[in-house]
Amino acid sequence: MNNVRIAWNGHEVEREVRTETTLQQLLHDELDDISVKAGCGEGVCGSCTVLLDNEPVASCIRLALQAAGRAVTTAAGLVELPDAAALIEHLVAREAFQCGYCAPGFLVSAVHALNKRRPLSADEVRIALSGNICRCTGYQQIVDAVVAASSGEPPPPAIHARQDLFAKIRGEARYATDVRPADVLFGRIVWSDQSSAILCGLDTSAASAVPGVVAVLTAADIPGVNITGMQLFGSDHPLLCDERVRSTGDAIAVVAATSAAAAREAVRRLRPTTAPLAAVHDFDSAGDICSQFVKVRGDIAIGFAAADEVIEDTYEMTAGDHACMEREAGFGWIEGDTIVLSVTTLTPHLVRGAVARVLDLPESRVRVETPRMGGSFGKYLMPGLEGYLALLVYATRRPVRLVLDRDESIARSTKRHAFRARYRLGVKRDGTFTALDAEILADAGPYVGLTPTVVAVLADEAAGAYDFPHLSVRARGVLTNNLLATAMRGFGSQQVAFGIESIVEKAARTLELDPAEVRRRNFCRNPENALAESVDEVVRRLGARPAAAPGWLTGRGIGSIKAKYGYPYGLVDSTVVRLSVDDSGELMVEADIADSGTGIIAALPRLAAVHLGVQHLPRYLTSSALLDDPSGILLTRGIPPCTTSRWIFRTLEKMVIVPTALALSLAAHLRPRMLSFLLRVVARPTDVYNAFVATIKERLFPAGVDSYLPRTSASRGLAMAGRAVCSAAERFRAAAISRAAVALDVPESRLAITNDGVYDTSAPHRRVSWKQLAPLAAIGRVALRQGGLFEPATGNQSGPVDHMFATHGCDLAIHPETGEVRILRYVACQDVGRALDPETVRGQIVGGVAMGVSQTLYEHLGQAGGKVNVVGLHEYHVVTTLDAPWGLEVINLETGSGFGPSGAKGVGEAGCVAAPPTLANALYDALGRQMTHISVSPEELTEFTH
Amino acid sequence: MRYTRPSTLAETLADLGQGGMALGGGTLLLPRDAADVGAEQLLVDLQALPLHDLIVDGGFLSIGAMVTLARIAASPLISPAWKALAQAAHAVGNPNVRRAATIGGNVAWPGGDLHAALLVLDASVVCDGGACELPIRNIIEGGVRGGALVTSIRLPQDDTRHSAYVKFAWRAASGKTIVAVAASTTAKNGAPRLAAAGVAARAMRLPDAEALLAGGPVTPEAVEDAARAAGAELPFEMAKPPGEKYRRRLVAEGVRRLLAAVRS
Ligand SMILES: Cc1cc2nc3c(=O)[nH]c(=O)nc-3n(C[C@H](O)[C@H](O)[C@H](O)COP(=O)(O)OP(=O)(O)OC[C@H]3O[C@@H](n4cnc5c(N)ncnc54)[C@H](O)[C@@H]3O)c2cc1C
Ligand code: FES
Ligand code: FES
Repeated sequence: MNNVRIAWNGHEVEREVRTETTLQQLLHDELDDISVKAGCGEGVCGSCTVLLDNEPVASCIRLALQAAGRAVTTAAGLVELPDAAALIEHLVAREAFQCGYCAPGFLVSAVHALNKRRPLSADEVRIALSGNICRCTGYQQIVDAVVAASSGEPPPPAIHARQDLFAKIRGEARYATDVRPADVLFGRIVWSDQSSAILCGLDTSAASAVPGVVAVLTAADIPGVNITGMQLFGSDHPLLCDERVRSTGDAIAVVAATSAAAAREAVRRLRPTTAPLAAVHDFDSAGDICSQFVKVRGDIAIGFAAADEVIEDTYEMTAGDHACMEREAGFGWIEGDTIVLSVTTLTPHLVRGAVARVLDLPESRVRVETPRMGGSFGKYLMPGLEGYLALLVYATRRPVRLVLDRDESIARSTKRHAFRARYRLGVKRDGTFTALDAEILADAGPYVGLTPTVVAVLADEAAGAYDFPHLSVRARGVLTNNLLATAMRGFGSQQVAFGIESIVEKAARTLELDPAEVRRRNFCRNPENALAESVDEVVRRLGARPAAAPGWLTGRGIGSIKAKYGYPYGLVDSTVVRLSVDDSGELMVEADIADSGTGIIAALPRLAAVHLGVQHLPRYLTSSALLDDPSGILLTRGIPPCTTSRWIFRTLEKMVIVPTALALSLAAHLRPRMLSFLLRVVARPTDVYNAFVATIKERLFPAGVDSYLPRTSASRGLAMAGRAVCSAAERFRAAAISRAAVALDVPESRLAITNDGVYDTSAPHRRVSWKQLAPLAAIGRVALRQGGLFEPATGNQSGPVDHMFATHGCDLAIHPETGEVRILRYVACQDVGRALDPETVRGQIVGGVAMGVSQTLYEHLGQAGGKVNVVGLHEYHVVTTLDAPWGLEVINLETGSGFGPSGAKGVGEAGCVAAPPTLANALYDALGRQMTHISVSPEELTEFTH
Repeated sequence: MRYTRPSTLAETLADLGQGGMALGGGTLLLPRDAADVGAEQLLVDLQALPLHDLIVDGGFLSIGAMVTLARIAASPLISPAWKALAQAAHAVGNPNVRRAATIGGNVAWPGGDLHAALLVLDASVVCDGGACELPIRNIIEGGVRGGALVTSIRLPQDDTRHSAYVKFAWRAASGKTIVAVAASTTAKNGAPRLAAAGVAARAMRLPDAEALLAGGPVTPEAVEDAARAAGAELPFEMAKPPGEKYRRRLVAEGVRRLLAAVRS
């Protein structure tokens, strides 16, 4: 131990630290300064940026001891300075952040840049911020805000701005990694270093002997069932492997120790004896099918006979990581006889159920808290670390912290499904499509997980934005010994959009037709011709082709998409929102949606304010109590549900899901032909049965929230919760007015709502305040209709989900010798239904496009033999401010056709679904040869030019 | 792990002599929560030593080992003659890293990105407070002797010199260097000097390419010949992707770009 003294935000503090304690750990863990985040621990992401003697540095790669005797200023210490305060206003007004995990780090770097010189140009700001990575936003609005602040512009008024952003930027918002019980143990997972092997033995004695190690647990120490994962479609995923390992993402033991170093040392000393088995890493040799969907329309033989040309090719999209800026992490502790987990998850109920089964405890003795999430993008739909954490807490009876290193998370945790599709497309000489035959494969990794939902999307969206009179699609999920796959932004839409857009582009170019014209000719039915309009708009905006710099090749590409949002799989999807006013007179919106940063939760108070007709935004609450109450009883009646009603609710829920799951696991063992037949048969009865059970459930639990599902997540959120808010607002308004009518003794028709309460329109001084009306609450609920719209051929629900339509276009330049790519121009045009909140829509699109660009050109996982070859964020190249596309033009079409309030739509995924094909098509144009796989590296691009 | 922050050269050399490990900015040693530093290691923090000067003196630019890359990239003392060094420093990592990373740590690390620039600028490395001075080439080839301390880097002044540096990476900030190339010309020895890293295991001069440029005017044809020679001449020794062909292509392209830059 060593003594360290620093001046921390102006206070002299003194602490005992270990030599290896980093400055970030001293500030965050010891001094509880949660404005100092740690997204990577590698010096890459900048979320740990602090000022050391007024110079920004990455505090994660600096020892606390190195900072001894010096002044350290963190985001929390900056916020009161006038410069920082003005900048924060600019950032909030532009909704510059989403999940906000990166925000305090950006604040520190930006304030430093502002203090050095002003005004700053956009390029100077981009350089100054290039040590800070943001996964959500694409940087555009952050840079705009800093440039504006540097020129002394007054911040734009931010009446409707997202309140949550203030706390995030100031570093006051708590994320899962910011909960820090005292006397905490450090957990670590022992991963398999083989991707397929028999586990013969595991000697834990050397690891247990390391001083400071408190627990070394293996499968034998699990009190309940040894199962983790989604568990909707199969229970094949062991929490800790005991006989067989199936991927390098498999865990074989967990350890807890009093220091991170001891835990690390214990892991090092745990060497299992294994007997390697043959491993499957390639689609071609993968025969184990875990899910299949078939979609047939017409007869492709007829379609191909009518075609002048049949275009064929195979396209691949490699696996990728979500790279959420917050590392995968959780804290667990014991309160009384309850295990409490503070974790990043979108599915707290799934987690609670899974953990209870692992520990063999009643669910009532497990509580799952979901603080803010530093990104999700689908990663946190499926339970992940929670089982390990809970097991350690249970065994040690002490608080445990489990945070994956960034390189662990890149190398071991779940990935986007790798995708391969073979297409045959029949087309007439004039560009009219006659038939499509698609064979699609998705790499599930070793366990079924939620692959069936993704495969359903792959099948359903195989035809993309086009109409084919004759269609045959077979999509399959295959089991391999690669890393376990999970949903990522779009649930497969992204992969399949790349596939169909590639074959369509190839058809157009083979026939020497204008790709835009071929698209227009074949678009499927879509509201108000949004697709054709979006193509026209994109082509118009792109205008004349830009001139190439000497030595560079240029290319232009467009990509059109139709992608659904909403559960594709016959699952029930509902959202409940409560609007209330309490004794203090404050309006509140409560919902069961955790904040993953998509802007949904910010939109809710705004909608409530608009629909009620008040100026102040109600406060938004996601209480963990609400999250823990799947039956909705607490939400509606304000009292926690009793054990019996809980039990009835759960049973009903299980009854909805079981037959589908059963049919599927059965189907997995059957041959393909049989399978589609079987699904055809079970779909109908399942459908009717589900509807029946759901009706009973609806009667007993009118506000029942379906705990088998992720809380309404992704872009669907706004559509769902938005409508729930509107209906809650209607009822709330009615209730308030009727109560006020009694209080003031005037007819309801004379009353109206204002900021402070209800008043008499004919005698405005006569009013009742919110405080006087309290307590008052109303519920709004929206459910996607279930049943009825099962597609008989596939068994998947193509029903009441809604679609987004978009066309993107870009001009890019590529250097033939180096493979460097520069995006010269990027235009994104989408049908947003109704632009309720253009800044949020813009933020989502810009962020999505940046992610799509990153995934297509920068992020190469280098998975070989089941092992990831890149190390951490150092080598997994998420784009920085200097790489992200700049000057994106975002155009919103308003067709009013969405499922959400006033016809709004979810658009969140459109950016990253449309960007990959757009870029690939532009590269095709520039190089004269088509990319048959993405991501594509500069090295591979130069193979095309030589 | 233990830590000490000596304030005199004698103490420092004693600590290093007993197996201590020099700690510059720590940007190389400390990522991943200092996980890979041995448990018994003594870290000898150099920050209290007088190694922070960046001065031009007696015909040399002298840079103390603890001068950060951010200072080098921004220093007005680094005239156009030493531009390659400033560009190389600016190309390292990201702003946060550059503010912490020291030239001493970069030079001592076999993969240091400044090597190619220092090679073409005739740099020498002063060790142990002046006890010895070695050409940068010796350090690149043989590493810093165990227990030795880099105290400063010296670059001879020559106002007729022009130099430039280019780095290729798959990301513009925090990009891991794939290939780096440096070039410099002086009135005295006429033909440009060239060096590259990212093909052989260490940064190396490019004698074949240099020879093709010697004697004659630097015409576009000569540049192209030199670029091709540069791409071909180094032994290939890299284990990690990208592959040989691509790396060689980058060296050639780097030479093209640099010769265009130093000529103008
Ligand atoms: C995100 C990130 C990106 C990076 N990108 C690059 C890059 O693009 N190019 C690049 O070259 N490097 C890069 N690095 C590595 C590193 O930052 C630099 O090489 C840096 O210059 C090392 O200096 P330091 O002072 O931090 O070294 P330290 O980590 O302190 O030390 C590095 C090594 O040098 C020894 N050492 C340090 N000072 C002395 C001395 N005076 N005498 C003798 N031995 C000494 C140490 O014992 C140690 O072995 C990157 C690092 C990070 C975290
Ligand atoms: S946590 Fe320090 S740079 Fe990422
Ligand atoms: S807002 Fe920047 S990482 Fe999420």
